[in-house]
Amino acid sequence: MVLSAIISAFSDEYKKSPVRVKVLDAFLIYALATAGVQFAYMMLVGTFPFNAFLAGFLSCVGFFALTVCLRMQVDPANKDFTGISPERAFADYCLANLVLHLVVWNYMG
Amino acid sequence: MANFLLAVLALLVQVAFSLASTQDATGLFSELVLSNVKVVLKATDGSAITTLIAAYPKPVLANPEIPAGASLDVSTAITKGGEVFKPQQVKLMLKSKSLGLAAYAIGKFKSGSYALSINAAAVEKQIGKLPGEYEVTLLIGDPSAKGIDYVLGTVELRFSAASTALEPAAVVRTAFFQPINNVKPEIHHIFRAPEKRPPAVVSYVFAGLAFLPLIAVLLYVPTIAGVNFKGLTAAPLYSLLFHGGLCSMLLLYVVFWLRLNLAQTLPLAGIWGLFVAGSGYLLLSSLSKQRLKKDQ
Repeated sequence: MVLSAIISAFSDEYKKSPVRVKVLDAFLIYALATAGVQFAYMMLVGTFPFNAFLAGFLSCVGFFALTVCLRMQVDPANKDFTGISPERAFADYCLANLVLHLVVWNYMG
Repeated sequence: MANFLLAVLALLVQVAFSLASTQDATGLFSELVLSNVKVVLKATDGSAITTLIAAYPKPVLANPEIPAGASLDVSTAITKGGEVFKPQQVKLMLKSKSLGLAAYAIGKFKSGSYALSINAAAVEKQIGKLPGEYEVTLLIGDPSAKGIDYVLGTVELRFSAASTALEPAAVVRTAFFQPINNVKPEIHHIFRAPEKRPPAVVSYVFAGLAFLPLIAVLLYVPTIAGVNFKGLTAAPLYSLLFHGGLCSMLLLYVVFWLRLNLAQTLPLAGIWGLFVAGSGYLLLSSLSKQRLKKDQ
C-alpha cells in the first residue's frame, strides 16, 4: 500500500523534470542494462578473454558515470553547477566519451 | 679507347687470378704417401717373431696370435709431395670385434719414420681386460692432406692370467664406442591446453541480448514528451559539420579496431579531433547565444 503511494508520488514528480534529464535517464538505464547482460554472460561462461569482458563492461560503466555527470550539470534543479553552461557540459561529455571509447576499443583487442 | 684498354687489363688480371687459384687448389689438398710399412710381432724379450712388409692398401695380418707379453710394432715413413712429412695424427687403432671398443697407440717420429707399438698391457689400461679378436688399423690424419685409414688385418690378443684389470663394462665410453642404450627419454613439449569456450550459439544469443537495450532506447526516447530536433535547425551548417565529424570519429574507431594500430590511429584521431572540436565549439557557442537571447 505504502509502496504504491511512493511509486505514484515519484512518477508524478519525475514527470515534472526537464526533457533533457529524462533523455539522459533513458541512456543511464540503457548503460546499466547492457552492463548487466555482459555480466550475466561472464557469470555463465567464465572470464576468458578477460580483457574483452573488462573492455565491454567498463565501457558501459564509464558511459554511465559520464552521463551521470552530464545529468548533474544540465539539471536546472542542481544549484552546484550554475557556473557551467549546459553547452560546456555537453562539450566536456563528448570529449570524455571519445577518449573513453578509444581506450575501450584499444583494450578490447 | 681508354675504356677498351681498361677492359683488356681487367681481363688479363682475371686470367692471372684464375690460374693462380687453380694452382693453389691442387696444392691445397695433396696426397700422403706411405712407404716402408713394416709390421713386426715382437716377443717379450724384444726378438721378432714375425716380420711382415705391408703395402698400402693391402692388409697383411691374418689373425696371428699375440701372446701375453708380446707387442705389435708398426713402422712407416710418411712423405707428402716427395718430402718427409709429419702429420698431426699418426695412430694405431685396435678395435675389438666383440664389443667394438678401441684402444690406440700414438706414433713416435724418429729419424725420418714413425714407430708405433701396442701390447696387451696398453689395451688393458685403456679399455679393460678383453681378450679376443681385434682389427688393426693405421690412422694418419692432417688438415692439409687427405687422411689415410689403412686396415692392416686382425690379430688375436691374449692377456696375461695374472692381470687384475676388470673386464670393460658394457657401457664403457671410448672415442670409438658411443653406446645408445643409456639415452634419456625424449621430452615432448606440452602445449598449453586452449581455454574452454562456450558454444557459439550462447555467445551469439548474448550478443543479441546486449543490443536489445540500445534498440529499446532508440525506440523509447522519441516517445518522451518534449523531445524534438529543433537544435539541428537552429544552426544547420555547424550542426551538420559537428555531427558528421563525430560520426567519422566513430568510423575511425571502427577502422582502428579492424585494421590499424594505436600508433597509426592516435595522430589521425588527434587531427580529426581538432576539426570536431572546432566545429563543436562553433555550434555550441551559437546555440548558447540563442539560448541567452531567449532567456533575456
